[in-house]
Amino acid sequence: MAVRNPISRTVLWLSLLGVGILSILPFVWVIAASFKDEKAIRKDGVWPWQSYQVQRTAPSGESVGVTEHVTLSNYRQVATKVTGLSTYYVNTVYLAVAGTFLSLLVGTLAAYGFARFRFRGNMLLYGLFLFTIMIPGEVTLIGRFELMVRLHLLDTITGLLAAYVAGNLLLVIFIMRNVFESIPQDLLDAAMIDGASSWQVFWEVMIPMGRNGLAACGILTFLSIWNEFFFALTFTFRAETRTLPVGITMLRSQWGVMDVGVLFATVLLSFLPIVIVFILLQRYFVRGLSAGALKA
Amino acid sequence: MRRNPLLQAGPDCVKCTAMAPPEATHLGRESAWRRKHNRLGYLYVMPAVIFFLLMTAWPLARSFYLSFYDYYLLEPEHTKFVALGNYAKAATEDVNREPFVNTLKFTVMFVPPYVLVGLVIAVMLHEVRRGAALLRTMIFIPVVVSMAVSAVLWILFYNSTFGLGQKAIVWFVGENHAPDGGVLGSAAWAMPGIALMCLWNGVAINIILFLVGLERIPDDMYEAALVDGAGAWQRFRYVTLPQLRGTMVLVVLLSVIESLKVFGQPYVMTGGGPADSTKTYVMRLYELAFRSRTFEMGYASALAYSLAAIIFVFSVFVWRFNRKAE
Repeated sequence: MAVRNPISRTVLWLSLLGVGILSILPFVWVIAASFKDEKAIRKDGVWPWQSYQVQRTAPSGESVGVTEHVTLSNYRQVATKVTGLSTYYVNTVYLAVAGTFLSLLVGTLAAYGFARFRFRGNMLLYGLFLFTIMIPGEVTLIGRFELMVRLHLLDTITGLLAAYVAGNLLLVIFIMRNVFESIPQDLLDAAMIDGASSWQVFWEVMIPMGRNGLAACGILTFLSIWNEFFFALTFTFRAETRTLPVGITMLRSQWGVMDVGVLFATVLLSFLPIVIVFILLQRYFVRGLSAGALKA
Repeated sequence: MRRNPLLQAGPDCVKCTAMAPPEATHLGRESAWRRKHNRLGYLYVMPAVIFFLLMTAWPLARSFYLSFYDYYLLEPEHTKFVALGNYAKAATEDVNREPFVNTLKFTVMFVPPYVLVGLVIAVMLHEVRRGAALLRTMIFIPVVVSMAVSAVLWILFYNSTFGLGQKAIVWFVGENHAPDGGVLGSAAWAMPGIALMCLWNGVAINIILFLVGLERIPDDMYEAALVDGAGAWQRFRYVTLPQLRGTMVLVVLLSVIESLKVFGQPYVMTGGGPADSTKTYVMRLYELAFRSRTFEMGYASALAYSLAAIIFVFSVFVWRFNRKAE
């Protein structure tokens, strides 16, 4: 039901643009500030059209005051002063990719089992899974921590990976079971008449037919692991096992000694990649989020 | 169907039994085939069940068991059965009161704008056709940035000397009423400041939920309303709102649950301060379990299960209330 009146349409559009600008304002502000000197940030303002004075050494050897608008020095310093950012990135990318893959693999197999096989205990098990989705993760946390201690998986990436797969598995099963149930039985019967095994039906009928659901689950799982904070905070201690969300908050302890400009540059580097990926894949993201949000 | 030897090494052997498909056989053989076929389901759900039992069911059961014990991870020799002692302590101990009240304050402060802003923006976005992709991209960007990164960003944003947020507040309320030590350094401002950051970071989820609900309202309902001469507000009031009822209940429920569990944002932004004014329920739990000298996991488990019970009761209440109102 689109609004017809051109004036109200323009007003509507402009107010939404205003909301959009407010949404991205903090990011834009950080981007602008990351190109400024610490003193400029504190005194002169962060926007590129605001200038500030710096002392530079002229070729003759004397120090002269110059007016600058932007500088790249923060980024040069990030490379040398901020340690660990690349490790955090590697860990987080690994966890998100491997975790998404494993959750989807184990989850779709189970969803197929639940949706298409009437074995004894099917409903009971599935009901148990459904019930568990509603239990908040905080409750699982303490038990899992103790389990990690016993399995000697505490403070390892593998331990965190296992926790993430377990944490996302049930939602994948839930969504994919609904997807698989909606695939018409005739199609499966036809494949079986052709002599396909149930594994072939899974791989060559179910997976291609359910690819939208799979994409939604993939995006949902990836984002949830990429952003996860609580488990990463409690299960890891060393810099080598830290993920990006936890690592970035650890910067706080260095704030006293750290140049504010460098801090801005670091924050920018921690959100820019995912924002760019989002902008490129915007349509799929929204579809995935809505599918997931709907089922959750 | 492609014949791939790898695929045939799958976890079943329907083909080997050379059974005809079910329709072609008489009843007895069909059920035998079916039973055999159905049992394959166990193989498919097996990996998930193993994962579930080890990584979810066992921790849940273990945590429940521990909640009846005085249990310190680092001093297991002092474990003592206390029955409901931990739950009684959780409900009565004074130190728990402030985090609990803070969490409720946060919920009251956060949920109404979270739901209403989500609804309003969703309804507006739903009306827009041209340029919708651009608007949606801009408005949804914050939701993909992780909570922790957003929190750090907003610490800078609220900074008392150079923060843009602080400048906006000074501009709005005047120099005299603005918090001196920055938003996060003031007991009165810190919690609303955190709630605002949460709103910015997460409202897109509610917008998306409402958009899905709006998509489902059949167009002819609006056309019928138009024929009846309903204005824009009347269409919203008598068509959109009633039709969004189910979505609304879901959004409110999810929002309340989310805010009862709030932890990361205050943990990163204020660490619970100033003077414990932003310390939440889950933060108290976290401190007991992971930051106390002995890792008081029994007591922390009781707190965790109490929270789960509160959430459960609330969900059932909302669900029943909704059913009755229908």
